[in-house]
Amino acid sequence: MIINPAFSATLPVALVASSLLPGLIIFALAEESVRLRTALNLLGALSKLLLVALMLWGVYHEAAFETRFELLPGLPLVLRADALSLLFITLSAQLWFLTTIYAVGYLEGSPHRSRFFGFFSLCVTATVGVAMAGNLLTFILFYEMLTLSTYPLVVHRGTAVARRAGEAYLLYTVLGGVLLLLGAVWLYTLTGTLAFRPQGVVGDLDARHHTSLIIIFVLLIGGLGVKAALLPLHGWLPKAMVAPAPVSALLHAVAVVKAGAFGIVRVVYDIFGIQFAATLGVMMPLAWLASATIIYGSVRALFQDDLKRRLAYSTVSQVSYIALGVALVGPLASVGGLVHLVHQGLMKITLFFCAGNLAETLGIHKISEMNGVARRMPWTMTAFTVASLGMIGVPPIAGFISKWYLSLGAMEVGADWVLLVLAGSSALNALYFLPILYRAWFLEPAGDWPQERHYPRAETSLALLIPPVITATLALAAGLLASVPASPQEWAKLVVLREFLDP
Amino acid sequence: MIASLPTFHWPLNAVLLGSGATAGPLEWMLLGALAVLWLVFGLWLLRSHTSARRGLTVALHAIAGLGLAAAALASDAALFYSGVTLAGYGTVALLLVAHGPGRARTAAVQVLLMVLGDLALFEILVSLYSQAFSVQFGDLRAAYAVKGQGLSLISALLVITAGSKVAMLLLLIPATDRLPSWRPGAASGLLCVALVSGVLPMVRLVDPLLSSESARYSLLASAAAAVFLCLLSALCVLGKSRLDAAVRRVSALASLSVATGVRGLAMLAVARRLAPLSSALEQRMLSWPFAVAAAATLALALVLAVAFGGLPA
Repeated sequence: MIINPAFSATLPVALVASSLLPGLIIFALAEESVRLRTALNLLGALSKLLLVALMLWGVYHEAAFETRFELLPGLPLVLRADALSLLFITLSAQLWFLTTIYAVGYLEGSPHRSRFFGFFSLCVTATVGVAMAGNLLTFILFYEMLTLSTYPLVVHRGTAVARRAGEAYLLYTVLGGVLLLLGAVWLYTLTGTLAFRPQGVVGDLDARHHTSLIIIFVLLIGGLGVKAALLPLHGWLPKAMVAPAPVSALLHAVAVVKAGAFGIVRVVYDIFGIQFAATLGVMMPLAWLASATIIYGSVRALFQDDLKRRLAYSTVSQVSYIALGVALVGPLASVGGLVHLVHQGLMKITLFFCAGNLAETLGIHKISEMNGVARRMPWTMTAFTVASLGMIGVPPIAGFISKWYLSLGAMEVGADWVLLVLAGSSALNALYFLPILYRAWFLEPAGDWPQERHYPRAETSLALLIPPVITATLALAAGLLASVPASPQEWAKLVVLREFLDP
Repeated sequence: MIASLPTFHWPLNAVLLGSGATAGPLEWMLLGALAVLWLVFGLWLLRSHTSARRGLTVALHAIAGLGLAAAALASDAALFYSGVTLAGYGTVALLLVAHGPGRARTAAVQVLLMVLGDLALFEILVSLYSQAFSVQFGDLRAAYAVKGQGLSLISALLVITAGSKVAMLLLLIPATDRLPSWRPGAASGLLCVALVSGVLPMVRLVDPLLSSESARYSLLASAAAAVFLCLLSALCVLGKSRLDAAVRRVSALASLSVATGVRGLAMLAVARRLAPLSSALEQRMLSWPFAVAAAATLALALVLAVAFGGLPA
């Protein structure tokens, strides 16, 4: 399909600008300009959705969208939309829109909202940049922008605990950034390029560089593994759960951990090339590490009474499914890993929205306080139930599709031990999610709620209630209608076909 | 008559991994049986719960019923598995609503059994798919014929699937003493789950005529596994005093069985000695005059019993 070159070059920039410009304007707005700020937020989110829809249509029909700026000699800043980047961008844009609505309701009447929404918009800008990066330099620039724009959101409440969490976040992610930068510089000295290309850019190097390449791989994956919360670099994520619920949603589902996992996919496929990485012998250790993280996160989640903390450890476990899918070096496992990028986002954002609703409406923060809460907040807990069952892998919810492809991928490459990891993870997920559902639905409330607020029209504010109901419905639809054209599953298959099997 | 029932096929290409539903004679029969059992379960639920939870009960009953129907009609593994899990989770939730937290321990073991069975079924389907490259049951059955020979892992998983689901049902038995009365309604719900998620996978995947060694092995081992899992679950559910009582009851039953068995063997031995006499008696009993005389004697005895004292209670 042929598209006007000026148009195809403008679209990636427009996509970045659709959140950058509203964000910059919002910084300058007075605190009282609630309507204008909300309008700008929603306008940016809606225009981004529209642009993404255009790009989806174009990329599906094999159109190219690329913008280049000469940043340094031989090192351009490249923004490119391909099937893989659009998988991530579509998720981010959709969830961004819903998170914006949620955040407007969540922060109603609280201070520093212009600052919050300004950084919020910068975050999505950085995420889109990470997704569309056409080379490692562009990727690192936006990756660091994401770190810096997320920090003010983590410490938004300004409490001592929030500041400590922010410091931990910054320490981990800046260290990760340093590792990433070191790896990138070393790679550039060896290859003279940082471009992302199907089948990678290092396969032609002489065999005497293989040790260097292994170290570079470790540096890059180590740098990205911080945000992807790979063991033992995950420590910041459970600490950062003190942030407001929309920020938790941002960290766990939309932007930060996903940027790390997405980066791992890019490095493996477009820097090293999946087959060459397997030849180097680095993929199986990555699979072991991801498996260890999956089990470790689930076991730690089991012993948390704080709801958000349990969800945070669940993220540590679930995000590693993506790394595992890549590390198994097979098309089916790749489909499983890539589709989980979307599915985990839908399910986890639902859980964090619901946790936020419980905290905002009833003052519930601990699982032990949740007895009978479904009678008071049935819609919130229905959404929570759908997402929890999806996390366990119960069909027809989205998580089932991810686990199906990952299991098939493991069998395809003869790594049968992964089936045990996945079965163990599912069993552990059941052990830490089902007791929550039991408490909420089947036990009698213990008495008054810790801090109850009443809303006239529904169980909570509609701005807080509608987003989790929509995301839970999307999680259900992504599983039930997985074979509809352009569903996450079908798009992931397209990515694997175009990028890895038939580049 | 059953064979003349119409067969329908509904392609559901957009659903899950590309699904389909088929209704043939077997499915109609199964649906009929499930509908009756599910209706009994529903009526029992409506009687046993408080009105405050009626909405939840009706919703769960509908969802689990939909799962049963999907599992019964599914012509592919993904839709079948979805139906099985919906029915399983829905039914256990319904039992929890009906019984309240007092039965939490039993319910917890039932949930564990259900998760165990579902995980085993998932592994079976993944394993067969990797051989067949299809989710259709026809292809999966062919794959099972190859992979499920003898003491294979996949046969063992099938046994765990069936065993755990049947054990969920049997788990109601040790709990009956704690309930006001034996509740066939609760059993009918779990029987539906055991049928579609424990027995139906065997029907779909295993040779229907049980002509192969693997098929026979699977069936026998399932029964053994069900008993084992049930005993194991009972250990988890029962308290010490109840466990003692249960053990006493089981040992009394066992003693009785042994005693009966010994007597039976003795009688068999005597009978063999008296074979010519019994053969002659048998021939006499088959003769018309003897049969008429015996019937008349029985009728007279009945009349006398009713007239002079009534039948024993």
